[in-house]
Parts: sequence; C-alpha cells; structure tokens
Amino acid sequence: MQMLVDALASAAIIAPAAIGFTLIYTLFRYANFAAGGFVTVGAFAAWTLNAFFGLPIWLAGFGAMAAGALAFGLCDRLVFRPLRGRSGGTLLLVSIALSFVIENIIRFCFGAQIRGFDLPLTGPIEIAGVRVTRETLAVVAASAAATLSVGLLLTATPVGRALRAVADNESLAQIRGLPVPRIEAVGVLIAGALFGLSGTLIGLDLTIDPNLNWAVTIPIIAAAIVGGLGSPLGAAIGAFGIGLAEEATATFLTPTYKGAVGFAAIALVLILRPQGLLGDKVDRK
Amino acid sequence: MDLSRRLFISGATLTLAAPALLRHGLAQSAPIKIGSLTPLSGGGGPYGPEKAKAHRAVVDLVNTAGGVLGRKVELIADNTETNPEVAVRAARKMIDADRVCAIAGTWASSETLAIMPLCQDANVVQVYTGSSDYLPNGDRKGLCFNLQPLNQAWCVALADLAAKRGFLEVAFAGPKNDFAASMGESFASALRKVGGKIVGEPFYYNPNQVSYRAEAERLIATRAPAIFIAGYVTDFTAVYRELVRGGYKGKVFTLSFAVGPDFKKVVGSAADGILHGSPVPPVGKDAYDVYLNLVCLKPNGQVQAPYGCAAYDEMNLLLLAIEGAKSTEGPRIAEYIRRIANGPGERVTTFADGAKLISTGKGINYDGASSSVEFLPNGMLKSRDFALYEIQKGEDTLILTTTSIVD
Repeated sequence: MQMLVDALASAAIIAPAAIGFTLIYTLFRYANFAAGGFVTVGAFAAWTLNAFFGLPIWLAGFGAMAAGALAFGLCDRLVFRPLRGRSGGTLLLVSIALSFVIENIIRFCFGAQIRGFDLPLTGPIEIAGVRVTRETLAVVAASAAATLSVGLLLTATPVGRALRAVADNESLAQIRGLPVPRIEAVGVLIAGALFGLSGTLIGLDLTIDPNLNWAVTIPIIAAAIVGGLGSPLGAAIGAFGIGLAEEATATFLTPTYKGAVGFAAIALVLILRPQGLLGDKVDRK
Repeated sequence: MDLSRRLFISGATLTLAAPALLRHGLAQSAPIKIGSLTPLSGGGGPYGPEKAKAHRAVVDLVNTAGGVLGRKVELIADNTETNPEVAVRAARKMIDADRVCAIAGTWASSETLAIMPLCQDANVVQVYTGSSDYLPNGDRKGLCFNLQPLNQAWCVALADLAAKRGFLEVAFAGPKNDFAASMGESFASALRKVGGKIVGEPFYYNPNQVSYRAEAERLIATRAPAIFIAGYVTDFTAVYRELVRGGYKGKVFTLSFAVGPDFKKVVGSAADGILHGSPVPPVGKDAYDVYLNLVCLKPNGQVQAPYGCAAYDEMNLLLLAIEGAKSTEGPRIAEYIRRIANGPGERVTTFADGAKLISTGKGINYDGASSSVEFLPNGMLKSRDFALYEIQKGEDTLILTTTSIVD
C-alpha cells in the first residue's frame, strides 16, 4: 500500500507535463524534448515567486503556470512556428537543442546552486499504517485537478472541440472556418501552463536546480508513450504506470535500475502496443 | 647570379628546415596552456566556481608579473557538470585541440578517474581534489597529484565519531559512483575496527532522479539507528527530505560538502542534528590568508572556500614545477612537483617567492593554503586537517579537528 501511495505521488508530479507533451504531439506531430526545460522554467518561476517574493506556494504555482505558458508560447513563436510543416525528426532535434539553450539561460540567470521553496520540512501523517505527507496530498490533489480540468476542457468546451478538430485534421478545420493559428496558440499555452505546474510540483519534492531538465524529460516522455500519444487521460495513467514501475524496481530490485525503467517501458510499449494504453491506432498510408 | 650546386643545396636545406625551426621558436614564445576543469554545475556546483576562481586568480597574478619561463600562461577553462562523460569530452578537447600540458581542478573522483586514461596516454599532468580510494590505481606514469586525503582517512574520523556517539550499527547509502563505492568499503572497514557494523548491504542509488521515496523507504526499513549518506548536495538533499518526510528518527551522518549553506537554506531547521565531516584548510595559517586575500575574502577565523584553497595550491604547484623543470613535458613537470612539494628547500607559499629562489638555483618546499602539500610516492597527500561538525540551530558547531596522517 505504501508503494502505491509513493507511486501515486511520483505520478502526480509528471502527469501534468506528460499531458502537455501529448497535447503538443497531437497538435503538431512532434516529440518535444524541451518539455523538461519548460518544467525547469516553471520550477524556477515558482521558486522566485515563493522564496524571493514571499508569495504562498499555491499562488506561486499559478505564477509558474503563467511563466511556463509564456515561455513555451514565446519559444513556439520564435522557434517552432517558422518550422511548421517540417518533419517530426527535424522538430525533435530542434527541441533537444532548445532544451540545452533553456537550461543554460536558467543557469546564467540563477546560477548552479540548488534551491527549495520556503516551506517547513515536516514529518508524515500516518493513515491506516500508510505514511503520507501534507505536500504529497497537495501534489496529488493539484495534479488530479489539472488532469480533470484539461479533460473537461477538451471534451466539454468549444475551445476543446476546436483543439481536437485541428489535431484531427488541420486542413479540414481550416476549411470549416476555424481560426487554426489561434487555436494552436491556445494549445501551446495550455501545454506550457501544464509544464509550469509540473515544475512547481517537482520543486515540492526535489531540489530545484538547472539539471532538473534531463531528470524529468525521460519519465515525461515515457508516461506519454505508455499512456498513448494523443490521450491526456492515457498520459496520466502512463505516469502512474511509470511511477509504479520505478517504485517497484527500487523496492524489490536495486534502485540503480530505476533509471532504465522509462526506457524499458518505451521499448515494451512500442513492441507490444505501439499506440499505447489509450491511444488510437494510426494507419500510415 | 649563378646558381651553383652548393648554393642550391644550402638554400634548399634552409628552406626545408625553416618550418621546423620556426615551429620550435614559436613554441618557445607561445603561451603555456593549462586546463582548468572544474564542476561549475551538478553535485559539485557549489564548489567548482571557487576552484575556477582560484585558478584564474593565480594565473592572472603570475601573468602580470611576467609569466612562467618568460611566457604567458593561458588557462583553458571548462565545466565538468560533475559528470564523468562531460569531463571526458572536455578533457579530450583540452588535450587534442588546445594541447594543454596539465589539467587541474577536477573535483568528483568519478571525473578524475574518467579522464585519467586520456591524460596518461598524452603525458598530461593531473592535479585534483578527490577522495576515492581507487584514485591511485590508474596512475601508471606517476603524473597525478591529489590535494585531498583519501576516503580511508575520512572514514576513520567519521567511524570514531559514530562510535563515540554510541552508533555502532549504521546503514550506508550513496550515489552509484566510484567515490561512494569506495567510501562504503572504507566506512565499513573503519566501523568494524571500532566494534561496529554496517546494517544490511551498502545501498547505492542513481543521482538525478525524479523521486527518492522508494530509496528512503528502504533505508527506513533497515531500522538502523543511524545512516551514513555519502552523497553530493543535489541527491543528499532529496534523500534527506524523503527520510524526514518518511518519519525517520535516527541520526544522519554525511560529508560537509553535502550540507553547505544551500542545503541548510532548503531544509531549514530540519537540518539540525546532522553530523558531518570533511578536510578543512588550516585556518589562521599565513598561506591560507594569502589565498583568501587574493580572492577578495577576509580571513575571519572560519573555514571559507575549502576547495578554492586547494585549487590555489594546484595552480601554484603546476606553475612552479614548470618554472623549475624549464619544460612543459608532463613527466618533467611531475618530477618537479614532487621536488617542490616535498623539498628539501626553503619554505615558500607563493609562486613569486618560489620563482625567485628557483632562478637563483635554490631548492624550495611549497607550503600550501590547503595543507602542507607533502605527497606520498603515489601522488596522494600525506596529511591534512579534518574537522567534524554537528548542525545546531542551522549552524555548523565544531566537535573536533584532527590531522589525518597516512604512512
């Protein structure tokens, strides 16, 4: 039971970013390896607002979402929009390069020191023999709220329907009179905000430093692939699957294999069920 | 003019020899290149900048006074990111493209060990701070010099402290790298000598993970009354937070570089009670004060820039050895480092004083800012001061200082 709670806590951290990653993949058909970089931007934005300006952590979290949306929106305008229509491989390489640029900008602005939110470090609450901290409860609640909100937005609002229409067939959406660039911009801002939220949640768990970038990138991508690219709910379930696999590896095997779990999950899913748990099968013609 | 056969042969010989002569001449006036390879980010991030700054300060001072062998010293600086793979790429560039004669500044033992084969093959001298007991093994040519004592010395002091505090059963954890593996072995051995034992198997984890909950759970499950975590500040902070959040009530031992000001700021009052130790500079010594003044720090009777002072010694040793050897060949530099560090000769604490005596043909004995800088035949340090602290009310409270001496 303790392992399940720990897996849920780990999943809650990466789930919003995995949903952001899958949203971008659905809209533009490329794997954005700079996701970890934008998560790091969110973590530093939340730290600045919380530890530097003294705002409460929940308000800093909203600020981090705004900063993530702004940073990703800006990068999309400057880097990815001029390359629209290029192959997924080209954009993937560009996103890796962008990730290095973001990491070094953060290092230049904030230095290489570790940082943490201005929150007291407290012991656990014990519920039915399971230890859980207040931060974990807050992280899981925030992550679940974000996942549900995105799910509702995509299924029950006109913007969500427009986003799905553009993702499904951009040309048809354009012919039907949908303002495609504006809808794509909304998708980019939502994904950026989700990266910012993950950054805040990671800051509650880990130390904040520019190296966060590569620590989170593989779990985020693995969660999105396991869940099925294009499915926000799948990304959240994929995050839980990856979290559970990592916790089980560290508990029953040796923790040094934990880093390989993400890669192993990607390989297994691509071999056994390429569309992921909840993704739709795509036939290439 | 008639071109006689003799004139033709002489002219042709001179023309063919000219590039070689020019190259030799230019080499004698070209800058002396030295690599400054420090961890400016990652686990060593809190300490790399002070090492890089010390290297730069010494080189600037020496260049202002006319350089070494009448040539300017050019520092080729790079960041290891506390990552052996990055260190290897940077060292490869320094050796093949920049043609450095020495690389100073590596901090994590894994970086130092990773670049060692490259340096050995190219006869490049390595001067560094590291503590893995495996460090002397890769130095086939006697080109490596360590300004830090090995783990064996650290562990004797830490195991003694654990025993004195009544902790004879201690769990061990650390990141999976050479440094922690060697620390695990040495600590187990030192603890056995004082009647204690390691609880369970030494426990290693990956650095740079998203979460350390399961690792903390496993450590808590050992029910050990104390845990020694030989981590760097990035992973130690995350593991320690999870231990506190997991409700661990035992004692935590660690190394001082993991619990610097950044750590204390991040965890706040939860840091109280941690016991830690590390090699320290000889506070109050003239050479240490000279270093502090050079990098614009005021001597205040406290330990400041503990790795910067070692970097100051690294660069002074290298430059004095080049001056003494009148050569930038690795084996010659290494031979003179031994001569300058161990004496016999007049005590010097700066490059300027040493160079003056060398020019008059006198022997010197370099006495450093971080230690007396005496090397064993394998390039490891003979002795260094060591301090043990307990964090109380957010401050390091000194428990004791000892001098670790290796026979």
